[in-house]
This record gives sequence, C-alpha cells and structure tokens, in this order.
Amino acid sequence: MTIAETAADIDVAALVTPDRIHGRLYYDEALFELEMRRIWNKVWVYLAHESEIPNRGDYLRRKLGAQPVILVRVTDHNIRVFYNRCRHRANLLCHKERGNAAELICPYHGWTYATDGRLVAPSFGGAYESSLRQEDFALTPVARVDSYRGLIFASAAEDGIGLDEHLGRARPLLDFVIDRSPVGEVMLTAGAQAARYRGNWKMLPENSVENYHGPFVHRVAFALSDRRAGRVRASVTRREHDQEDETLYLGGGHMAEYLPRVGSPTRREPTAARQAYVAAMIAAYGDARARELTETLPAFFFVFPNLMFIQTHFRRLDPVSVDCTDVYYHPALLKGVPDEINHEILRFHETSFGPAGFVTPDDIQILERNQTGLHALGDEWLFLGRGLHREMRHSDGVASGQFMDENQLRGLWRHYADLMSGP
Amino acid sequence: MKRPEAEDFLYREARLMDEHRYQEWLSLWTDDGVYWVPCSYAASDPNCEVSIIYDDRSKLADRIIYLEGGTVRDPESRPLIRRVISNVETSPVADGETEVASNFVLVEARDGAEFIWCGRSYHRLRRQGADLKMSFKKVLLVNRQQVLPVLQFLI
Repeated sequence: MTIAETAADIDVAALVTPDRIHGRLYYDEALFELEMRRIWNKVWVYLAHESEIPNRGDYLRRKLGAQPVILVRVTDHNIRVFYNRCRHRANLLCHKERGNAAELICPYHGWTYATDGRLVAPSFGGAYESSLRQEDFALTPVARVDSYRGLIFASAAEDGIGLDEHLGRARPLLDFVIDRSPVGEVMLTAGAQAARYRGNWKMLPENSVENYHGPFVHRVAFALSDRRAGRVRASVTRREHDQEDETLYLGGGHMAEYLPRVGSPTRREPTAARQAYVAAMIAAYGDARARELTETLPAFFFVFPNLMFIQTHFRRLDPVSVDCTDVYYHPALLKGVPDEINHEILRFHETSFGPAGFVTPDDIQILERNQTGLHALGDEWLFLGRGLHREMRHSDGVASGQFMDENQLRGLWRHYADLMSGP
Repeated sequence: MKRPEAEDFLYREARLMDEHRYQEWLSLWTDDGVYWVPCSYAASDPNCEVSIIYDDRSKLADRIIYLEGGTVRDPESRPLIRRVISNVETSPVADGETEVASNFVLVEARDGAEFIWCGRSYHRLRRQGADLKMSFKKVLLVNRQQVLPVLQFLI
C-alpha cells in the first residue's frame, strides 16, 4: 500500500471537533502528503510581489507548496510562473535564487527556453527525429496565476474559484495595508529574513494570529517595546476584557485580529518626514481616510494557506516536511513616501522579527517545543475552546470573538477539515 | 595598530560573548556604535535592505535586556557557545580608527543539538583614553541569505 492510499483512508473530519483537534494533524507524514494534494496543489498559494521582479527578464525562484517554481517577468505586464524543471530530463532549470536573463538555459544539456517558456531549441537538435515538435516541450506553466494589488498567487489546479473569491474578506485588510502608501503600492524590495523551525506549518498561522500567548511568550519584548514608545500597557486582565479588540474568522481559512490601538505611528514625535507623509496621504485619500490609514495599527491577518501580514511585514511560509517549515519575513515598504519613513519601517521591523528579533525567536522556540510535546500520546487532543460560549457566528461564515479568544483558530480548522475531506 | 593588539581585543570580546557577559560586552562599545548583521549576500545598504540585526547603542542596550531574561529560554538553559577567531587582518581607516577583519567558527549547543555558525567580522576600533572601543561591527554570516535557526546570543 502506498502512502497516498493510506492517507486517503484517514477520516480528517473526525480529527477536528468543534473545540478540539487531534495531535496527529501536526505529525502524521501521510496527512502531510494528503495536504500537498488537497491543499497546496489545489488552492491559491501566495508566491511573490511584483516589485521583486521589476524589470523584463527578471526571474525569481519560489515554492508552490513543496514544488519548485520560477516567476519570470516576460513583458511589463506579463509575469509567468513555470515549474522549475527542464522538459528534457527534469533538471532544476533555474538554480539561482533570482536574476535577469534573456533566455533560460538548462545547465545539464543546454536546452534553451525563451522567458515566455517556449523551447527555443534542444541542443544539437539534428539528432532528434524531425517529428519532434518544439511546441510540445515548452516549460510547463502552473495552471493558474493571478495577482491582487501586486501580490502574485498561483494555483496548480485547472479549475476552482478565482483569486478574488478566494481572497474574499481578506481583501479589505490587504487594501488597508497597501493604501498606507499615498500611491497605493507597497514594495517588497528590501529582501527578507529567513528562518527554519522544526515544527508543522500550521503552527505558524495559528501562532501569528493569536493574542493569548503574547503576555507569556513575549513578556520582555512587549515591555521593551512599551518603554521605547513611552506607553503603559494595560494589565493582562484588563486587556483580556477589552471590547475594542476583536478576533475574526473571515471564512475561506483566513483569520484576523484587530489589536489595541497602541503604538500608532502618529503618536510618536512628528518628524518632518512624518508630516510630509501624512500630508501626502491627505492629498491622496482625503482627511478622514488618511487619518484612519495613518493612525490605526493594521489588523494582523492570515490569508490561507501561506501569507500573513504582521505589523511591519508580509510573512510567507513554505512547508518543508511534516515537522519542518521555512518562514520568510518581507518588510512592506511604502511607495511614494519620504525615504526616512521606510528606514523607520526597517528598523522597527528588525527589532521584533527575523532570527535575531525580540519576538520571532521566542515564537519559534515555543513552536518547536509544541512539536515535541505532541509526541506525548496519553491524551492526543489539543483544546481550542477559548471563548466558544461567546463566539458570534455571522450568517456569512464570519465568526467573531474577543481579544485572546480562539474562534479564529476554530474557523481555520473547520476550513482545513472541509478541504481535507474533499476529493 | 599592530595586529596583536587587535587580536587581544577580539579574543576578549569573543570570551565575553561566549560566556554571556553582556554588560561587559556592552562596555566595549562607543556611544555612537553600530552593530550590523546583514541578511543579503550583497550586504549593500541597511536603509534599503532588511538586516538580521541593525542596532544602534540604545537598541544594543535593549538587546542585552532581552538576552538577559527576556525569552522563553531561562538563563540556566542559555545556548552554550564557543568560537574560534582567526585570519585577522588590520587596516587603518579614517579618523584614526582601525578596521579589523577576522573569521570565526562557532558551535552552539542547545536542546540536544549542535548548530554551526561561521562568518567574517569587520570591527572598527577606536582609542578612547587607555581603552580600545568598537565603533562599528559588521558580521557577514556565510549562510546569511539562507534559512537560519534562531540567533539568541551575541554573534
């Protein structure tokens, strides 16, 4: 019996109850294989931002789930995504992380492709029968590619819902983040910090959009950040009952949390750059919207299955194996603002995030210990019942709860069980 | 500055870092010090590229507070680290400072596993009275653009 056949026999729906999930969901290799088929090779997966390949011929390696792909900017308005595999003998066509090329040449036997994927010529092509047709050997495109405001997504499935429908209620949250630029564009041109943790991929979104752990895991990081900003944070007990803050399940596997409005940038001393930024925002959006965009901390959110926006950055994950995950932290710079604003974003970001930030290492170590704890099998269930009694289910599939509730995680798992129980 | 004097400084700094003597390490810095660990191979401009660490003196002080007690890792289970410093080269730079380049190999032991860190460091050393201080330190990890484990010690 193959692994795949074993996996198909697993009743995933039985592993997800209204308030509990089974530990097997994090460590079972057969389930990981099934996730590749039923999630990662099917749904819209975030790959990159258009600003990462700004010029014709720019290319970039990424992963679609576990599969290597390349993004290529063919013309100004045409970005293609191909499986990163030569049509000849499956060699990794492109081994550099990124670059610019007029043609893509396989290092193994020299097969050469145009940036739009056409096979220009097999090397020493005279040795092939005349019936070999070049058009049969173009690079294999990923079935569907689409973008939303510069964010490029791909789906390996020919059929399925469109990207707009997939993004659903995450769209206004993406809009909010991107509209913080007076010209409505973010730039992911500053590169990314990269970290690997020994834990299942689903732990990352669960940890990234969940407030309950903050006062424990990030106690000192929060204290340092409060001191820096010159503010006093309400006690954990008071914040626990703060009605302003909300944790949302958005449908489609997406989650969001609206945070206390501490640390909004305008509460800092207004520098000349800051004043210029706010003026540009008012000119672009009008007073009310500009105020909202510059004074509100954007929601933290997760777009299923691999994109997050957290405070300063887009966070992207690649599942490596059932207990290994790669994470990339891409600061979102704002286009059309004074340089100092983007310098501040970088410095603020580095303080918290990446392998040596004051926040990321604690999260990663906690997740690794979580993966270890799962090996204790006395009671295999994890409890996600926080706030269940006060969870508000709205008619459109949205569920809301209070700060530190776990309603958003319950929604994520319902969506996961649905996908994993499908064909 | 002759190489042995620079080496003495580097060895002392390494010992303070390896033994988690953070306050003593902090005292090696000038007030305008900058500690930079880039995360791209280009390592070109920290205002255009995100870094693993880019600390001024005040953020360095916060980093010390964080490392001293701020993590899910209690002080008793800090990573155990030792490094070897070699390939030291010195060259004079502006304002009477000396740039000291050196290689390091470091083994970190934690959680039942070992992690190897390696790179080339660039220190700028400045005389302040009888003391030598660091005004700038850049650490180019060999694997800086690849996925890294967490970095919860001084590199």
